[in-house]
Amino acid sequence: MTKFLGTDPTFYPSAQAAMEAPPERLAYVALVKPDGLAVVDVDPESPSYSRVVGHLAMPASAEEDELHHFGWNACSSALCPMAPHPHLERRYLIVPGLRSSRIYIVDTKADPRNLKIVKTIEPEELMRRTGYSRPHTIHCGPAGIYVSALGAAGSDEGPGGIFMLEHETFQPLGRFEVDRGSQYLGYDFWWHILHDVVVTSEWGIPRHFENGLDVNALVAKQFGHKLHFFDARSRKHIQEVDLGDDYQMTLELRPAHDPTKLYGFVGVVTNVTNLASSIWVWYRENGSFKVKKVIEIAAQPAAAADLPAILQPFGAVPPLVTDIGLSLDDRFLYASCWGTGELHQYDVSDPFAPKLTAVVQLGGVISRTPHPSGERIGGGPQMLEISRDGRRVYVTNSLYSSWDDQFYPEGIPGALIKLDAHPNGGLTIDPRFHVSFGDARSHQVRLEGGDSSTDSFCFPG
Amino acid sequence: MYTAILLGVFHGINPAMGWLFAVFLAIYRKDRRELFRALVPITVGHAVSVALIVAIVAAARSTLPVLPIRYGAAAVLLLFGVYRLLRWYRHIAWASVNLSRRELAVWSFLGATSHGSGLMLAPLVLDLPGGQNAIAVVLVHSAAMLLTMAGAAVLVHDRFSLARMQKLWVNFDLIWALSLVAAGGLSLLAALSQTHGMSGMHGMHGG
Repeated sequence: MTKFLGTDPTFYPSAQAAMEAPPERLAYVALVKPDGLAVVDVDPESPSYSRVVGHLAMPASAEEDELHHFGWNACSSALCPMAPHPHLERRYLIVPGLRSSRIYIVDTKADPRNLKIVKTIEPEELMRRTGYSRPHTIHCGPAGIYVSALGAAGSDEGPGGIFMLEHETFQPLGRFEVDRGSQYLGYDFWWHILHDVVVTSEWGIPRHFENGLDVNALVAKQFGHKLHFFDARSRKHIQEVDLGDDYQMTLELRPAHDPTKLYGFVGVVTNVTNLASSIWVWYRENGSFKVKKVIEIAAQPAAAADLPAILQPFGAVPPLVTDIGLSLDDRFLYASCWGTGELHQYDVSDPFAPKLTAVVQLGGVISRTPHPSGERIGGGPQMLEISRDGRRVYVTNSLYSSWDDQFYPEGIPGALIKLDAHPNGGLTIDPRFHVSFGDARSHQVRLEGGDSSTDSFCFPG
Repeated sequence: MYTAILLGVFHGINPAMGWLFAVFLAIYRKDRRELFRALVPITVGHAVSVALIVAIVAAARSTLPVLPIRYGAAAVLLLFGVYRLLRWYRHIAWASVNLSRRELAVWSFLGATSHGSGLMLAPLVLDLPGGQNAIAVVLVHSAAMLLTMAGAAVLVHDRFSLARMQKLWVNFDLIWALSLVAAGGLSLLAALSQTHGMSGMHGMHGG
């Protein structure tokens, strides 16, 4: 897996270089029930365009893996000048099972359409070496592969945190935090790579989400509502920022891709007082981090009879913003409203004053908007991934198996949908692109050569 | 002395030793002068690391017979070289744009030390006639390194696109590890020939 001359062409010094590189031809999609990875042809020139051209079934095991998020072994951060690893290759997908705490290392190079598992980190080894369970987000970093985890080893409680895998052997190296301070809940993380800042967000402890959303815990405001900032060099907690405990579940973190900028966006699933979702900006001012709410999306009232049991007491459909994405030019922010069945696009050229530029309807608890091809959409837009050039957005429709069953009891047939993004704002669903995974559910999408949530760039411009 | 210069060029051309960081800082701060501002502390850090090893070798040489030091240096170089060959991709981790010059020198010192830069000079120091020259070796080596880094940094900053640099980027870490092994091998050969030379002399005495 080492190159001698030249670097992997999919390592980009800057976000601009990543946008100008050739577009993706394949998409990798995590499937659940049963667990697997699908390879989808997304090259419009190819005869098998918009079809599943490969499928890797995860080995049958006693418990479900629940594949969820996944990422690359190496990416553009390998070109960062302070610790260059220019001869790594973007070759292996690091694929955690959120429920099983097992991690698969999957080779995409030997045959990109015929994926192969080359190594499996068993849950016992992962927990023994790191003290964590429920691995979640993967980021390829300057000193190894970083993985967030939601639970403590062998427990349904916290603390969640971050651990590292060795770059070449994928051996778990132990936990990241030297001093976690007030941080206890885990979920997503990313960094401002040139400023030695790691930021983490909070979902909840496994006991509150694993067997379905614990509504009592939500009403009691026991899910996460903070961001935490760590010094990447000393690995010590430097600051927590509390959004207020009405805001429950601070999930996806999208720092600006421009490494000279010190701001980012975080999506909040719900506000317990009115079920609205919100998106906040974090930024640094006078040496400390602050947050500001910049987007709020209201819940939509509905008749109890039309609602699944979990929502009947509330008489409304919450938007449930459960994924957000930021285009590589830091210009467009996307938000998936999995409850109401909408995908929003905002112009965030001024991150403190977003402008809504498009709303697309798909699925939804009440609206149940079909795909333009006529296909029924179960669930709503959930995981979203933006192509490097910012012209295409791919979305899937499942959130998390036990929550799917609560919000969409009629079932969620897995799908991959593509939208075309217009250069100056605006979104259109591609009517010819509807990939069905049958009864399997679909979660995160990764694009060949990297996408808008896989890479960190050190060079500006 | 030529070897000291050659090793200076060799160390200087390795992007992980500093010029890449200097280019980056110049691009990041949009100021070409940053190239030179960064290279000075980088050279100082490197020189201190190299001087430390050279001083240890020179001190050992002035107190111990040269042959065991030769074997010792060969063994350390070979072992370290094989380690780097197996783990060539290891680097010290985070460093940021916010490094002060002192921190930049420390970064360079740590990088040079963990790469075994000074070790590579050990066989050379053992072959020197006098202790005085050890200081000259470090100075000549560091000057050659600084000039090479400056040349590489200016060339890449002014003439190359980053895309072109990516195509030409050779796996220096692997070459580096091989050089350590080669230096160890040469040191071992020198030690062996010296041993043979001695036993030959013993033989003559016996006859």
